[in-house]
Amino acid sequence: MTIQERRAGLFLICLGLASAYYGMFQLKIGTIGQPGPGAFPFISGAGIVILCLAWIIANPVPAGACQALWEKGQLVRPVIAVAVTTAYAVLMEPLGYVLSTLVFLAAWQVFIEREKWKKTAMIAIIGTAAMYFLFVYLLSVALPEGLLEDLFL
Amino acid sequence: MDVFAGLFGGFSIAFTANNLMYCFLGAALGTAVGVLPGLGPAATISLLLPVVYALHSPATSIIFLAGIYYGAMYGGSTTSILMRIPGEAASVVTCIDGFEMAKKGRAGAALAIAAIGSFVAGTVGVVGLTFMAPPLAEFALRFGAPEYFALMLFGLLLAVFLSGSSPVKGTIMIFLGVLLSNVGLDPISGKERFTFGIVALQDGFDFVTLAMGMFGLSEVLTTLEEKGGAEFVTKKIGKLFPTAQDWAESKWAVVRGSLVGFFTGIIPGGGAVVASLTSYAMEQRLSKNPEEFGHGAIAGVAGPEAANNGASSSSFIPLLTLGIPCNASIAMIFAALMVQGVTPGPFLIGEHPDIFWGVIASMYIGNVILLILNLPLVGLWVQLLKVPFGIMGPVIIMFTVMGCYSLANEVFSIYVFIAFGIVGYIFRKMGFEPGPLIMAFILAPLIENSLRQSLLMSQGSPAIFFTRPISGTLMALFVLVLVGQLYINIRKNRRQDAGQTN
Repeated sequence: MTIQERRAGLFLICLGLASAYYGMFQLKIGTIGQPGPGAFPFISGAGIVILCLAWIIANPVPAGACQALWEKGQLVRPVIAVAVTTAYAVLMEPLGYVLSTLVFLAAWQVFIEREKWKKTAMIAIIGTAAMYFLFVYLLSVALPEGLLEDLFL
Repeated sequence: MDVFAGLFGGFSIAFTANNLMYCFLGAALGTAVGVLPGLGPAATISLLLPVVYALHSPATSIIFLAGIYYGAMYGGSTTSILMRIPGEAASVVTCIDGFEMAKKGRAGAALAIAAIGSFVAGTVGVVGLTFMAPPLAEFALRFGAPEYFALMLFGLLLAVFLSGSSPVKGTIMIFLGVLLSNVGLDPISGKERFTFGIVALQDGFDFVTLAMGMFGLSEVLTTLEEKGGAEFVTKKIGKLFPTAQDWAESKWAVVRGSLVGFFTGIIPGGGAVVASLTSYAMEQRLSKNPEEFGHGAIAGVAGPEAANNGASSSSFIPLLTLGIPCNASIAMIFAALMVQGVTPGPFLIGEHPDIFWGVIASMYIGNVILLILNLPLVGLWVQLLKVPFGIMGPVIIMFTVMGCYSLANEVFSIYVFIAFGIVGYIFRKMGFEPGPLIMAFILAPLIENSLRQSLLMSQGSPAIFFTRPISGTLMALFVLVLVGQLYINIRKNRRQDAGQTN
């Protein structure tokens, strides 16, 4: 077991305790014959606590074992990807689908792939057009509209 | 009901132009997904669930999604053989000998035997499905709430022990899945659970959001860790036909692989991954030249590739007859049916024969399509590997994001999706597989309902699960497997400890 696994186990124990408490006192577990709304939250919370405890106790962290979960620099691109995707979600309704997708694709190429601006612009424009066509004409999905849609479409 | 009459009706549905097209599309897309590393069938099916709503035909959508699942099993071997990277999890063992064959310039023979083995096993699997599913469905009609409860518990237990990763981690994921499914209104008392006053949480988490985050986004994030793409081992495929000696060495491996695959596919928690691992171990043990394994033994490609296809066909049996999804991909198909108002289970064959027989018939056709797609056209799929991840990654994200948004036309579900993606990514890093969590998430409401119904039937006595013959047997099996597995684990740990102290 690594240190990270033990931390994850401890975190899950807290989560399990909280949900068992919530199931027991806020929702009421009921009886064996008549389980209440809190029964399943209690059972799964308690299950998580017991299993994590057993897991942690049975697998002590070997002394001196300190292996990082991520190698140096490995986490950079996933973190940027999460940031860019979150920004995409935030901007989607205010900017509309077309503009936000353009921004998302451009940001991905610039920050994650480190592409030059020409290729970035090309991917962003072609990608947005293709997705728009696919969603609107082939799948008839209702997309959030914004500035560009108002002006041109 | 006459099997042949049903199958005939099924073919008349599967052969309509629309269904034929979706069968082809599913098979092609499945092959693509299988070829591309980092995107498995479960993730793809979850990406396409929003598309499936637009089809408005449960039969067509399941024909399409099933094609993706068994198509991925075909495609997975290509990447394993040419790049030594499993295109999807069930092709991990194909990397070992397939890659060695490619190094010796026999990539063509390896690809061919994988495709032919897949075809044979896929067809064996569908034939088995055709003849076993109807009687099983009839038997399952006798199941009441207690039987279902016992069956689902047993299924989840097997899913944990067969998933290959640590059983403790698997069980923790099951409980987390149950916990996540509890969010929202309690179906019986109507009380809010874990909503913390957030209105959007009253309906609970949508499993599409959960699955797309845990499978789709987390896979993209994992792939992004590595810089640069994978390298080809060989670009030369060579002759696409196995020699007479290849045939002699692999024909029984294909037969055994088909059977192993078929039977592991039926077991809940089994499925393609377990099947291919079992087959590889079996071929190695039965081989006259076990030392060749790991150095390009063709049986080590033929057996596992046959097995993963046999399993992908037969894992439809528990879905179509009992309404129990036995692995993550099938769980996605289960979900696709539920969303369209069709409850998979023993009544499916009577109430929706078009779905039941249409899907089965389409699988015969799909296997033929896949053989053509994967044997002469294999070069085409290899081209796909040249698409850089800088394009694939954002495309996957745009699909998933729109999929979440279109569920209720609100941005909140995209945030939930991102959160699940991050959680899934961290889980993966720690060696927690998301599969059992998703299965538990989907099954938990059914388990909760059948538990409460059973207790109503018995006026509150939990003895009902043990006194009825079928549920009693299942509960006994549950205890037996649990105790047996614990005993094996404890003995293994002791032996390891003893080995360390010596």
